[in-house]
Order: sequence, then structure tokens, then C-alpha cells
Amino acid sequence: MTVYHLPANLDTRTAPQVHAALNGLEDQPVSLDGSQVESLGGQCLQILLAAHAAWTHRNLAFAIQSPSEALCAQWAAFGAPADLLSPLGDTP
Amino acid sequence: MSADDPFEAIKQTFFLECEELLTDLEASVTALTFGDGDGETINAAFRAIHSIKGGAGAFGLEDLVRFAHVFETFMDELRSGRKACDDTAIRAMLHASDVLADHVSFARGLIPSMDEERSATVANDLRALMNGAGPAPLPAAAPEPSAPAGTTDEIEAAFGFKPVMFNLDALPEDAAMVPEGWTISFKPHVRLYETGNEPALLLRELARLGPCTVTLHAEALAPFADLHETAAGLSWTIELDAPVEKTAIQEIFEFVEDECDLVIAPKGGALDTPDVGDVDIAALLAAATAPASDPVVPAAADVDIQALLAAAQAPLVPPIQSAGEAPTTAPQTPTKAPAATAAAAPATSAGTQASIRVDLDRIDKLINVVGELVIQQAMLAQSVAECGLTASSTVKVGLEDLEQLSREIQDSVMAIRAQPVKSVFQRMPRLVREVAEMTGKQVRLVTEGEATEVDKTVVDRLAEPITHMIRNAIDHGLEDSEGRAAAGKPKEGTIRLAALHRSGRIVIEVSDDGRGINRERVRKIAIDRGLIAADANLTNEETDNLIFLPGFSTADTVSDISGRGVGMDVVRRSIQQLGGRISIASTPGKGSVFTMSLPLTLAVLDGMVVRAGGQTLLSPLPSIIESFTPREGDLHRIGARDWVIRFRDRFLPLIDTAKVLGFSPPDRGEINGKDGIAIVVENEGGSQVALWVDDIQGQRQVVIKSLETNYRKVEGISAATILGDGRVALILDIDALVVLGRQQANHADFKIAS
Repeated sequence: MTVYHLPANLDTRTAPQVHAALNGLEDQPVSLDGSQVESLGGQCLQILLAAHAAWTHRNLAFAIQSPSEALCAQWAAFGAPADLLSPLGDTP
Repeated sequence: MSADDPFEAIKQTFFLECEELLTDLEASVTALTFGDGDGETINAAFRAIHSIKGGAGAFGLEDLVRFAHVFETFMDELRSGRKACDDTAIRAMLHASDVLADHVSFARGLIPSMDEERSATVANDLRALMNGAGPAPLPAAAPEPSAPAGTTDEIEAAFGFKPVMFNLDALPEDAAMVPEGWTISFKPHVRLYETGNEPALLLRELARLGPCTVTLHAEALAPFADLHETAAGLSWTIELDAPVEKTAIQEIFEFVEDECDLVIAPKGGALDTPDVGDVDIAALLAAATAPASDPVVPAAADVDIQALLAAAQAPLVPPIQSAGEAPTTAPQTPTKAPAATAAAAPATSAGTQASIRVDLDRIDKLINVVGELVIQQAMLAQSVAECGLTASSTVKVGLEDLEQLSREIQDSVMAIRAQPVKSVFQRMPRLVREVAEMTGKQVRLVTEGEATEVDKTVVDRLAEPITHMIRNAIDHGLEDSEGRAAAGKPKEGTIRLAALHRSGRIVIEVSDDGRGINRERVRKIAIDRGLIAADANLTNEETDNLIFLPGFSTADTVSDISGRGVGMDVVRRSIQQLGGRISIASTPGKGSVFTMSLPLTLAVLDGMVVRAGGQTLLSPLPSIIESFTPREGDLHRIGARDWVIRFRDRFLPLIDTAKVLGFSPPDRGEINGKDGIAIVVENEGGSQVALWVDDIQGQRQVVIKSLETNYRKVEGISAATILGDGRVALILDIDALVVLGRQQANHADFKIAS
């Protein structure tokens, strides 16, 4: 499983970078390391949600591992599905 | 840049708008500086910045957006009264508006580089002011979805701006009319992200108002493969459980109101209240359906209650979910209400549009054609006159009507190009600030007559000489603080910039209340530089005008601002090229007044048709004082070549026009005082001379045709025109002619260095 380290600032400026990185891993199970994340913006959130849906659809694993406190807090503030952050949520 | 590129064309329009907005901003800030500002002035400044930010976002000008956002937030603090509009705030605004203008210029490619450091410093200053003076952030009342405090700061740092604070104390005691909670449906557009805004921050601000339940709707999200990195597919429904005023919520979304679909409605129960007919409820509902941008609640009487109810209910129809539920099962909540209001908004703004933008080339072409029409019409009139028709013949009457019409067309076309000098004057406060800062002097700029209109060609070329004169006035004219205190003047020096119409010309005055011209020193320098003879006897006016000579500099130290000995010389030349003149009046210890007078247009000219040496010439009417046939004995010869003429008990130098311009053969006899007419004209210094011509043929308005473009520069001639009979007539450049006359006369004690 490929591990992709999410950048610290997941804001509008880093969104293209995250999208491109995930695009390059499309045919393999992905684990995202969220331990370094300090902020999360709407753009990156939608990329992560769309990616999750795409990977799930192809029956591939997609999970955000060891999310940082900041990531968890912002994730919740957005009202985003909590199970995506759990390490157990990687199998459909 | 390609003219065919529609995107580029829109961008250029945006920059034009920016120019106007910056002008508005400058006007507002200037008003505040002078203490003339009120809430509306701050609002106007805020709107200008907001519009620039909005447009810049659309073109991806990130730096501009980021800076504008900080500035805008700062203005919002002032606007809401959370931050006092004191001297510190105004100074910060002045700096920020300068930097904003720089950002625009840089984005436009007008300046090669952007002073990022200054921009960052000014932005930080604004932030510091906001933090220092604003109320401390409220403790998050909503514990559940709100982020830990440390993260808040980090996110703020990451996004580069501060959220707006709200003062809950300001809530009214009587909360009877305030619903218990609100349901907010929020769908960001792509532009919201592009303009540097962030839903995360908006959600957090909402959370500060009270406990929020946030539901995310991701159904509209595009598949990952098709997902453009800046797409906007997410939307949120937020249930706010706090009896806050609607305006508190609207304020949060104020910056993004045009960049999202937003519906704020009282929480479900409100609709069930039986007293729907109550005016307050109706107003509340009306507010719920109104776009967030409209803080004014429409009068209840004006709205269709039924329609409003229907619209207000729309967002409440879908069941509201809790945060814990999976979003995939959530029904979609796009509502018709925001779409309808969004569509209505541009329509209203289009209705108020009262002007159009026209390419200047098209107007120039029109003016050219009208010029030809006037010439053609004059030629036709002349041909008709030669036919010897009676005055009552239909041809003649028709021709007169035609003449009137073509004159009207000409005036109208000229009016299209007329522009207020405001656009030039508005650039000056910044210049004054910068020069004052550099010289360490306190300067106040007063402008008058900004609405004075002048032809576009003149407006465009006014900026340079005015800039130069103002620099000079601050640098050389005004004393420093100690000098002013010693002279018993207020610490702050005053520069007055005024525009007015006077006898068919525009007059621009730049005056200062400084030390005035030190004539002793001017005279000494002129002698040292060899510009005048040591024993020359000059009037005060002549001495003052020495500073316009090339290579003259009175500054003890050469500064960056002015005083390289090119200043006033350049000013005079550029004004002369415009067919204008400049003069100076100075009172030692009291200050100086520079007056430049320019033609209102560079396209047409009223002139006197004269003949000299067998040539038809045109003398510009504004410079003519009088013309008369001298009596024998009025002419006197001084020395070997010079002539003077008696005019109203004075003697004026007489210039033989034909001779100076080289029209008459060298062996032509001298002026004899019989076969000719003297035209008294005034030159740039206000002194008068008389021109000797053979006769006067009449007065008419002519269309100016550039001689330089079509032929080359001719000394003593400013341009040419075509007369009614189709012949070319040269237009005299009076000032140059006077200088030429003096040179040829080889005046002994007033050598012109050039």
C-alpha cells in the first residue's frame, strides 16, 4: 500500500498538488498519513471525499491514517463523515 | 497581449474599473484625512476595496486578493465601529491604499516589480491595528464542532487573514423578535475559493455565535477523475442554536455574499408560529429571502407575503441531518430562492448603468472626420459666396443651417472627449505624501476645481508637469518645520492645486505657502551660470522666470525628488508643447504661485487669420490682446535693428513676423508704419509684444493638423490648418516667435542659453 504524506497546510493553494498526487496513485490502495496536517480547507476536503468515493468504487483501500488533532477537529467542524479518518475505515 | 483574446479584453476592462475604484478610494481616504469623512465615506472605501478584490479573484491575481482582503477586513472593522477611525487608522489606510494601487499597477504590468516587503509590512500593520484595538476573541460558545484554540491560530496563519470578531454584548436586551435559532444553507461557488476565502473560517465564525450542527452535502461533488482542483461541489447546512440577530450571521458571510448561495432562515419552529400576518414576521421572512448583500429589510408592504413564505419555506423542506450521519444519504438542498436573487442582482445593477466605454481611437477618428466636415463646409460656403447668390436664396439659407449643424456636431464631439481634471488631481495626494515623507516635511494638499473639464488629450499630458511642480513646491518652496516655526507659520505647509476655466483656456495653479523665491540667489546663480550678464537689469518677474531656463537649479543639495537642474525647464517645455504657458508669481516669505494656462483642446483652435510676407498665417486668439493700425510716429527704431511701438502710452517691442519667419527677402525694406497692422500679443511670462503683419483677414475656428507628423518641426510655427479655400495656413507659436525675434535681434543683455 502506498503511503502519501498529506502536506501540513491543506488549503486552496495546496489543493492542486494533492489532487495531482492522488491522481498518480489511482490504481492502487492508498493510505494517507495525516499526522502532519495543521489546517484543512474546503478545497482539499472535497478532493479527499471525492477520492474516497472513487477508490471505494474500485474496491481499493483508501484511508487517512493517524490524523493529527487539528485535522480531526477541522474534519468534524466541516461535518465530514468521521469514519473516513478512522484507521479501520480503509476497507469498503 | 492580444486584442483578440476576450479574456484579456475583460481583464483590461477590470483594470480600467480598478483605476476608477482606486480614485474613489483615494477620494474617501483624503476626505477622512481632512476629517470630512463619515460612515458613508468609510463604506465607500470599503466598497471600492471589495470590488477590486472581487475582480482580482476572478483573474487569479492572488497577491492582490490577499492584500485587498486584509485591507477590506480592516475597513470593515472601522465600518462597524469596532475600531475607531483615528489618526493611526487613517495613516494605515493611506499606506494601504498606496500599496493596493501598486498591486494593481503591478498586476497590470505598469510597474516592473512589486515591493513585497512593503506590502507585507503594511498588511501586518493593518492586522496589528485590528488585533490591538478590537475586542478579544470571544470564548467559543459552541464546544462541539469548534476547533481547539491553538489550531485556530494556525489555520488563521495558514490562510493569511484574520476572521472578523463579533461583539455579542451588542445584542439587544429584548430578544423577543429574535428567533431561537437559524438554519443556514451555504454553498460556496468556485469564486469563493479563488478569492482566497475559506469555508472553514466561515464555519468557525458561525460556531462562535452559538452551538452549531453542521451537515455536509457532498452529493454534488464531481467524480474524482473529473474533479477540477478548484471545483466547488460541497455545500453545508448549519443549524445554529443561538438567539442571535440575523445581521450577525450576515456579517460573517459579508465578504463572500456574491460568491456563494446563501439562505439564512429562522429555525423550523418560526414558520409554525400562527401570527404570520404580524408585520415583524413578514419582515423577517422577507429578510430571509433577500440576498445577504442587502442588509436593508424590504418594507413589508412592498412584498408578496405568499411568495415570500413559499421562498422561505424552500430551504426548510429537506430534513436537517445531524453531523454524525453519513452525508451520502443526505438529500440535496439546492434552493430556488438564492438562484433567483442572484439572477435578479445583476439586472438591477445593469439598469443604473448610464455610461459606456468607447475606445479612444474611435472618438479620434470621429473628430478627424468632423474636422474634415468643417473644412469641407467652409470651402463650400466660399464657393457659394463666389457665385454671387442673393442672401435669401435657398442655397444660402440651407448652407447657414448646415454651418450651424456642423458647429454643433463639432462641439458635441469635443464634449465627448472632455474629461474632468479629477483623474489627474487624484493622483497627487499620494505624491504629496511620498515627497513629504522623503523630505521630512508636513504637507497638506488642498485641491480645487477638480470638476473642471478639459480635452482628453490635454488631461493625459497634465500629470507630468503638475507632478513636477508639486515636487518642486514641496522640496524647494516649503520650509522645514523649524524654518516654518521661525517664520511664525503653522507647522504644516499647504500646497494648493487648483483648476479653473479662464477665457477659453484651462488654468492650473500650484501654490505653496513657503518661503518664496530667493531673488538674490536666483540672480547670483544665473550670473554664475552665464545665463545673464552681471549687470543685467531685470524686473522681479524676469528674475523669477529665470528658474525656467535650462540648466538652472537653486537647490543647495541635489535631492532625489527634484533639483537636478532639469525640473522647471522640462515643465515649461512640456507645457509649451501643449500650446500652453507657465508663469510664476512669488512673494518672499509668503510663497509662490505657479500658473499654467493651457488650451482646452488640442484639436480645434480659434484664431485670427493674418497675412505676412505674402503668406496666410493664423494667430491663436487667446494670446491676442488687441490689434490696431498704428499712426505715423508710433513706431520708433532702437539701435540698428530693434523696433518699438507705442501702445496705450507704453512702448512694446515690435516683431516683424515675416522677417522672423524668413518669408520676406532680406532686401525687403524696413517696417514703414504705413502698410501694416500691429497685433498685441501676450507671451508666457505675461509680458506683451506687438507682431507686425500685412493685414488681418478675419477670425475663424480651425481644425489643427500637426505639422510635425506630416512634415517636420518649424521654428515659430506650432501647427497647420486647412482654410476654406483649401489652402494650408500655418499657426503661429507666439512664444517661440517672440524668442526667435529676440535671438535674431541679438539682444545684448538677455542671452537665452538654449
